[in-house]
Amino acid sequence: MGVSISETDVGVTQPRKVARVQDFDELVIATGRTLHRAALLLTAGDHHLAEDLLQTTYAKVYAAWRRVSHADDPVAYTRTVLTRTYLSHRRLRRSSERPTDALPDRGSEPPDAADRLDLMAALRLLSADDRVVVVLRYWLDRSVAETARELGLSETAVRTRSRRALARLRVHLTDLEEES
Amino acid sequence: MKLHDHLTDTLDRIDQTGPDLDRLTTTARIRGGALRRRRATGLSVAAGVAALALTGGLFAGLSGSEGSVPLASDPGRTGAPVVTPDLDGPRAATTGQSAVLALRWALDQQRPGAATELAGQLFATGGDYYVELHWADADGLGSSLVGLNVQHGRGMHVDSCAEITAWCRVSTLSDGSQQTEYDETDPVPDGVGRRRVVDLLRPDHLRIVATSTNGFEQAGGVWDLTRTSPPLTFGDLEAITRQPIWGDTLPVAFVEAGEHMTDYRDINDHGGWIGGNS
Repeated sequence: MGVSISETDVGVTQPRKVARVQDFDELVIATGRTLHRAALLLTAGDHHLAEDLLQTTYAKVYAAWRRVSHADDPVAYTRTVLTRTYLSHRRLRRSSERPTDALPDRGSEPPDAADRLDLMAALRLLSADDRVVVVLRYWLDRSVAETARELGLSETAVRTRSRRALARLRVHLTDLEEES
Repeated sequence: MKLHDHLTDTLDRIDQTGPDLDRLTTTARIRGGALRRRRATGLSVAAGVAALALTGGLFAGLSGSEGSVPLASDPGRTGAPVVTPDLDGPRAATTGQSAVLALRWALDQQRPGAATELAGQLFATGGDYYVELHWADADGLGSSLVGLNVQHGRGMHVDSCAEITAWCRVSTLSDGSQQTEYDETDPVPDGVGRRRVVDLLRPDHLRIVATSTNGFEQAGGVWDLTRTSPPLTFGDLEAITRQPIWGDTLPVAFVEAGEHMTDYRDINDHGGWIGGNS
């Protein structure tokens, strides 16, 4: 059984012809590039971490493929796995159930370009929860209602986090326009 | 400039090639397939333990014994030797193997069940260690992960409930230890991942964290739910953390037995993709 999918479903700006996803590979092809970029934003530009996050996401989806392929919206399911995997590991690190002295200090990793510094450094200043909202709302173009549903938050909470995140970003991105 | 345009411009510069989709697909199939197999194995172990528990209860009833006699974990399943430590006897330097055997012993003092997949990591320079095992509780509801983390210094000791959204309690014990008990919940597509934690900071500044989950958190962040709630209670976890054995040394019986373990797994993943600034 195939499921309907298009790149517009995952928030890219250039829609393409809707394809029928017959198997897992098609889902990866249709969503991989956009979700990779979402992972890059969630990890504030760290390519290695982003790739690992993306691989973890698709591994989970593959493990549950029979259920995913029958879901109403497999793309939304995959997107939710991505964001929740990210948030879940942030919480795990805080509780520090494993020794952490060997973990790389990604937060102090020097960026390799001035532009990257501006945006990625600004993203690093956001909490994980706020960063996820930014990525869903302003990169994946999810509505407030969709973001709230996917993160298990109220719409009020999403709006609050969006405002807070944008205010912090605006300190570093002086040309950032008001969002409607 | 709109934020979406900012994001797009930056991504266009730092991500010109995009992901290797073929490799992504292949890796996901391998890891996802392994996850499926682990799930099946976990269920199989749980079913076996349930049957064993029923059989044990039947024999206990026939012999007139108490039905609540603990079912000790099955060492034959893992190749790990049985250890009967002399808690007041000599001690030897902790190894990863000895620490996980000590965890299994501490678990056996609390609950009936079976331990498999004994694993750990030892940081030789600091003397910190993390050990874990798969615990198929005799309740038969599913196998899941039990972990123990021993660290020197306050480190990341959770000393307040401020950031805990689920149940949490902070207390000071009679010996001056600070103890934080809390539940963490992680919504996942399959349900809710639950992690029950007791975080103890002893007066000698040794931090001991015991955890019980309702599934398996695999390397790289894969979370495989196997049951609805963790099998260990806060009381179980507290008893484990308060065992006086934990430290740079362990009763020598654990260390000697650890030398004969054949299937100990050395964890060396150092945290997967975790990153960021908080």
